[in-house]
Amino acid sequence: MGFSTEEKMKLMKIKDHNELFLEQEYVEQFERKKEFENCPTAAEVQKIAEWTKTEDYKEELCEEEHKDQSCKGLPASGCDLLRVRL
Amino acid sequence: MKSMGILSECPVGLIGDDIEAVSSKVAKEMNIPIVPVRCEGFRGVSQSLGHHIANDTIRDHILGKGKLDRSTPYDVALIGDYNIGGDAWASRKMLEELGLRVIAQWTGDASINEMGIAHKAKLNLIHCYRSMNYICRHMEEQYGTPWTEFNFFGPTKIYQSLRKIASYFDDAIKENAEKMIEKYGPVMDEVVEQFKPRLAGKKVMLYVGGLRPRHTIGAYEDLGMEVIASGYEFGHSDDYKRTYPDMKEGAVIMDDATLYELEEFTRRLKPDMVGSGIKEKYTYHKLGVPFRQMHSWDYSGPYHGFDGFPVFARDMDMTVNSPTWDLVRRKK
Repeated sequence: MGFSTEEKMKLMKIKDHNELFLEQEYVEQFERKKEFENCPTAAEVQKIAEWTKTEDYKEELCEEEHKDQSCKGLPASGCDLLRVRL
Repeated sequence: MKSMGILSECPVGLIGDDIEAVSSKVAKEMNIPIVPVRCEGFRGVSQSLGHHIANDTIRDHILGKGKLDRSTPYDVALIGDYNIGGDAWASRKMLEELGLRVIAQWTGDASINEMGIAHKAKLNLIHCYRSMNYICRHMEEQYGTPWTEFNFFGPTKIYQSLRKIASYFDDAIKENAEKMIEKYGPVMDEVVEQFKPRLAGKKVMLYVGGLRPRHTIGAYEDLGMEVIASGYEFGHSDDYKRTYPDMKEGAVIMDDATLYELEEFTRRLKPDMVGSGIKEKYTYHKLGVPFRQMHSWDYSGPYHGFDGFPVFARDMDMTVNSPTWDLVRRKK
């Protein structure tokens, strides 16, 4: 007793997940884990992320969506929304 | 994209859609594994059959198909940790500090490749026995991979588990376990010292799923609290066998209790706090009983490991001693 929860947190250095997992130890751990993930490189992810901002991506996505004719006549398809956003 | 899952819900099962055929066809077109998971909500008497089906699906479609460049004598897989509030990360940190190499995490923050290489581990470490013992048993039978249960809730169980895990490896790992206990012991003692005076003697009632009804008992006891009742939503007899030794004489063990039964237990046993899920949360708020969601950690966490125990202690303190409860009249 005798101290508030905030004081205790400070005293005990209790860190919630949003702060805890930004610690260097964890950041390095996340990097090490990638060895087993067989994941794309950061450069590849960045390349795709950039591509999703292009006109090419927009056209490809809309073309794909219009392959399914059943969406015709619907008020706002994902394609329309995307067009608005882009 | 590395893989895709097709998960059937009730209408898919009722209609009879052939998701296996679709998966097989699309997998060939896209040249990636497409995993059909035929696990409609109506299957089984509880969610437990879903775990079994999911385990079998992973066994049939994913396990053994991953790529691992090299192996070491210290390779382990962390099984049955769903990374709630970062639990799996806190556990992984400890296992790495112990000197082990965690090649796979199932399934919190897992990747498809990790799930495909778990059989190459020298030891499978299982936290949630209920949901993933099936895949551990399969890997033991098929690949000869041993498995062991462990518990990273609260210092007492953590120390026991570190020593137990280390016992499967050489002296270097055993020494590391002792070094870790020596290093973190004083920190854990400090947590207990700070929170025990506020929590000692408080009675806890648990009604949760998976591993929590028994795995968290030690952590509460480390804080001087007493688990007077514990229950499983989808436990099997082997869960209860594992729970009895951890419960004190006279404690109540519940199986698949209804909300009416839970309320009645609460009225009779008068716990100082209840740990259960979102379905029960608001009922307990109305009853005026301090409550903590012990499925999602009430969006807090981690609770596992040395980094998790201080968070657990703080959260239980906030739950039991929150002045909010003084404003709510507890119903008799």
